[in-house]
Amino acid sequence: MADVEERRFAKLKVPIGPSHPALEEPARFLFEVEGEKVVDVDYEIGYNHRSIERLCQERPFSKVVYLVERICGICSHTHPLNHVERVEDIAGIEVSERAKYIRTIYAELERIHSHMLWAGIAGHEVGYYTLFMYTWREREKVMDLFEMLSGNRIMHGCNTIGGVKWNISEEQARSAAGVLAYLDTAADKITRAVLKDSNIAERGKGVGSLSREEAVRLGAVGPNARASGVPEDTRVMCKYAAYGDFDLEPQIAKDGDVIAQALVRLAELKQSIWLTKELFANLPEGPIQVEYDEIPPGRSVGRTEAPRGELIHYTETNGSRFFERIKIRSPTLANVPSYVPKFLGCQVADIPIIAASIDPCFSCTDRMTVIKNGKRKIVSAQELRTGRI
Amino acid sequence: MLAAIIGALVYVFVAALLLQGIRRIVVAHSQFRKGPSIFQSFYDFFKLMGKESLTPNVTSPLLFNLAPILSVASMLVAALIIPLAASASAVGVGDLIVVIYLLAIPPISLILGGSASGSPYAAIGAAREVALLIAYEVPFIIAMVTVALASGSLQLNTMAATSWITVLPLAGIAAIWTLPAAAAAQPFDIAEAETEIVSGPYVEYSGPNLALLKLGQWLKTFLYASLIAAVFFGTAIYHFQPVLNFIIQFAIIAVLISAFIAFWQATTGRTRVTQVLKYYWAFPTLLAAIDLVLYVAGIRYMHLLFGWAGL
Repeated sequence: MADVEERRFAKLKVPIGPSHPALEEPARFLFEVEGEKVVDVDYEIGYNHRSIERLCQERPFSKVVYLVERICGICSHTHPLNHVERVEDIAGIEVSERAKYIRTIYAELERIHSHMLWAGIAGHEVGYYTLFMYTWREREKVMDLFEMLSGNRIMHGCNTIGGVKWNISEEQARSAAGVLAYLDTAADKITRAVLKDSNIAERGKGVGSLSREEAVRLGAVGPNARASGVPEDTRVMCKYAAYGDFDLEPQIAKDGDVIAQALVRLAELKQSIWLTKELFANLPEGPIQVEYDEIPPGRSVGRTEAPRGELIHYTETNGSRFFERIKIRSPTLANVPSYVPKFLGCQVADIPIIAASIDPCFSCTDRMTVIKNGKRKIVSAQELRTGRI
Repeated sequence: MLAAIIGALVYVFVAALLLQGIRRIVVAHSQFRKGPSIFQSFYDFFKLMGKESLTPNVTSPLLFNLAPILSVASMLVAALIIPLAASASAVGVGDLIVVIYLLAIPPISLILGGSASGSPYAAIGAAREVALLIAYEVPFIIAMVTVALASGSLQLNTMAATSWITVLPLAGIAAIWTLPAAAAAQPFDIAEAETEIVSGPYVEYSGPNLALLKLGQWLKTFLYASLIAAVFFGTAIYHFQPVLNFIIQFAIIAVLISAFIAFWQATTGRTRVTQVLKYYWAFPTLLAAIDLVLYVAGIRYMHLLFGWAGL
């Protein structure tokens, strides 16, 4: 009898992940639920460690650019952009204005397709598959544009130390303007579809909200922080690449809930389309690459705004052909702690959309977790050195 | 009699599976997709029937394996007593109360099987199925009771002699409104919700058991729509050759399903449990209740407005 009583009132433990339809990448959440209400949550990342930082130290400079490009399939431009800027900073290489503009064009197109992708995923998570199909259809236009500019849809191979590899011809700029005009109307349609839908409003209003104080305390970055009213945009603060030439305003909302996240990303979508148009129109003349001799020893740390938020690269060289150390802090790692206040008190039905609301990219983030005999273990530097591959 | 029974069963099986194919194609086209073959449900069904059925360790095996059979068996009985494409049902009789109970058995077997499978996803899904069942049964039963009162009989064959949508349109709208929830289609597929609870009660089912559970759900969708069509549109139109009658009936159901399930599915996201309850207990229940109250009060508004007394 006691057993029956206990079972009736026990809280149900619902695992989401490492493999679950709500997650595009492996991560594990353990929810404790009472009926439909979530009362406790624990998260665990580290399922997809790929040892990128270590690999960066084992390759010559020219190959590391391609390696960092493959950290993320969506942020495949902002990682190498940050990386080459760090190397150029160490070596004192002055990149031409045209190269800076071309880098910025790619970075903004990446933001456009990433935010469209997010809108589609958000639709998928709330079971609105038509929105998913629609936004991803329009996103294909951006991918086609990428293919026209660089020959590749995802891995553009655009950045190189000292400039960019692919020039933009007059003809390409003209047809890109047409595509951008189309995307502008598509972005308006997506915005209307998301913000005017009463069901989405009901599913998103007040769901997964994060106060400004919490966002600051937990170190949220990017659209996740801006949705809570933190006006931080690395493009505005650091003015890297060609962002110094344009007057950008960080797009903010105040509630931090799913609707606020959508508001921020859709406003950024419009902003990025506008900025890309401007960049194409004001493309300066000049060379796209400069020569450089060798990379002296030195260190540099810098930030760029990936579609998911602030991306930090730390690079250290030692005068040889190899890097001494590369350290990458991708935006999702900074955003993961904000999951806890977002999940507490939500309904089971809201779990997927909250999980998707910070636009997670777990694989870029993953640190290594060593689990031996069911216990997590902290590995010393000595053990890492002896145990390395 | 035997021929009628076998005919009805075969027709219901084929029609229910074809209907899912049509629904998937309509949804696909509204999402700029091509969609699967119209016979996809047949392929799925026969493929699953040939696979192994696994029973999880923690479960109560009897309940777990009984639920799919219960689901299909109840629907086969319902297929015999609902007037499909003739003025009478296959066995000649049919009681409204029995049919309403039979139509509740597939969700209940889903709840039983889900609860017995010992998975937290299935437990949440089963709890949601209970809420869903309560949500749409209320307006549906009120609408049906209104028709029963108006026709003065609980016999479906008698009720279906009149096209009641012309007399009690509000009750008809309320009943049709419950179709997506009864079919567990998109905005109301909360019990399956694959991005949330990984298809809920179905999660531990595999092979023939899964095929039968799915078949029960598909048969229920078709029979539920057939019951609404028979009661509200009447069976007077089925006075042709039997084959033609079946085609007409299937066309009516297909239009109903495409218009009210597929369209809705393509244009909204999934709702939450609380939203479903609020949704069904507000508007459809109100519509059905208005018709009930007006009928009991003796106000025949369609007769007053258009001079209709029922076709």
